[in-house]
Amino acid sequence: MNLKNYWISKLIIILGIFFLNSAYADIKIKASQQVSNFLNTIKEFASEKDSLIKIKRSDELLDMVDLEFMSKATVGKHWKTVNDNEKIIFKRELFNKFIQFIDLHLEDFKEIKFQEKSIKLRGQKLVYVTGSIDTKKIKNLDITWKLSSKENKILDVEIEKISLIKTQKLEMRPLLKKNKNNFSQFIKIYFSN
Amino acid sequence: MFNRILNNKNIYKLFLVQLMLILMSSCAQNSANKEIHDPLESMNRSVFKFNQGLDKYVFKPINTEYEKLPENVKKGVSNHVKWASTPVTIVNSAIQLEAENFSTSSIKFLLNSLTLGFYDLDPETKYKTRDFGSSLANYNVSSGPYIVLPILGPRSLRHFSGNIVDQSVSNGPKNHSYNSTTLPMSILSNRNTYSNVIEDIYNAQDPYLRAKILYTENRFNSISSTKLLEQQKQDEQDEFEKLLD
Repeated sequence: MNLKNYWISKLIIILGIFFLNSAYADIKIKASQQVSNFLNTIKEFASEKDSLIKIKRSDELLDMVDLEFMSKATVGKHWKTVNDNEKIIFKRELFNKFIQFIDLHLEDFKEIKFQEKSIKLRGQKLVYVTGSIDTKKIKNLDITWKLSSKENKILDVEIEKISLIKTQKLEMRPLLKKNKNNFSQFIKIYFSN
Repeated sequence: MFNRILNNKNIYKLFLVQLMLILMSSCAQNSANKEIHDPLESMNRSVFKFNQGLDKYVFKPINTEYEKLPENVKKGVSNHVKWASTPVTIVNSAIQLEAENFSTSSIKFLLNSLTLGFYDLDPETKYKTRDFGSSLANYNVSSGPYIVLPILGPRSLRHFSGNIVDQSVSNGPKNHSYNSTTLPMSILSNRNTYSNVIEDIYNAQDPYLRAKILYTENRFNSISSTKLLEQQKQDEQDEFEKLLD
């Protein structure tokens, strides 16, 4: 009887490890696919001339990023005090800024290529996809995509070890200090360009 | 070599003055997370504006022409610039007791000397770029205030002090061959490599602030120890996990 229990417990442990590993493998595959989908959509967006299809592509891009997280991370503790309307405006402007960035480098993004090097789970909630990017102008640029393992959405991008979220956060900080009690004014100034 | 540096009174004095300033500076900037110490902001902004104008009317048009050159030529120039600055990495790897980086950079420098550095004969072998500023950081000298220099652009005072010493290491203070040939090539090549970044800086809401952040982040990443960078990654992971809750 004891011997039987011993083997059953061993079997449960082995099965547990097996399922855990396959769950982790699944998260990694999904993250890798998401990054590749994201880049393909950027490429399509950059090559597209039809404005309606362009809007469709930008909506697809919007679905792949976690804008709520990005906003919270960049604005910091002030986010709690922002009203719902301001939150919506901020998120929209943040995404528009990203689209403007693609528009600015349209020619470069048409030939974007990503070479995946590794996928790592970081803690319980994050998965990092690391690799290098080649565009028309820039070759072999180190890039890390940070995704949430649960939602499989892009949270942050690190280019040559410089985090987009961190850069935005540092950029917003002095302006937020100046406009502590007027978030609408902050949005207006920050996204004025 | 060091005798030559010490015999050059002007460089020695300037270096001492700067070293004192660094040591006196109370607001150390050890991590990119902290506020960037910028007591000379108004002056820095004026110099930044001057550099922006210079770039618009001089460097950008030159870069547009340079862009038209074949990829191999541009790659050759970029390789040569990197090769010419390798002695600085060799000396500073020794100062920082980084044996592997010292041997890798030395071997690569000697090997690529066969082509004067224009062609990289061993592209697979990589080494970390080291300068005297990073050596000072290694020995816990604080970065000092942020400064913007005409033409050269953003620096921390520690980085700039290091540059002066590095310049002497490259070819010696009395030999101006480095300045007359490699320096223009270096300016051209760097302007071309970072053209996208420069464009993004100019399109920012506050270009001065963005340049300051990008410089500080990049410098922090390139001179910090692996342990410090891993700690920073861990902090960021904790912060992200908290936000995802």
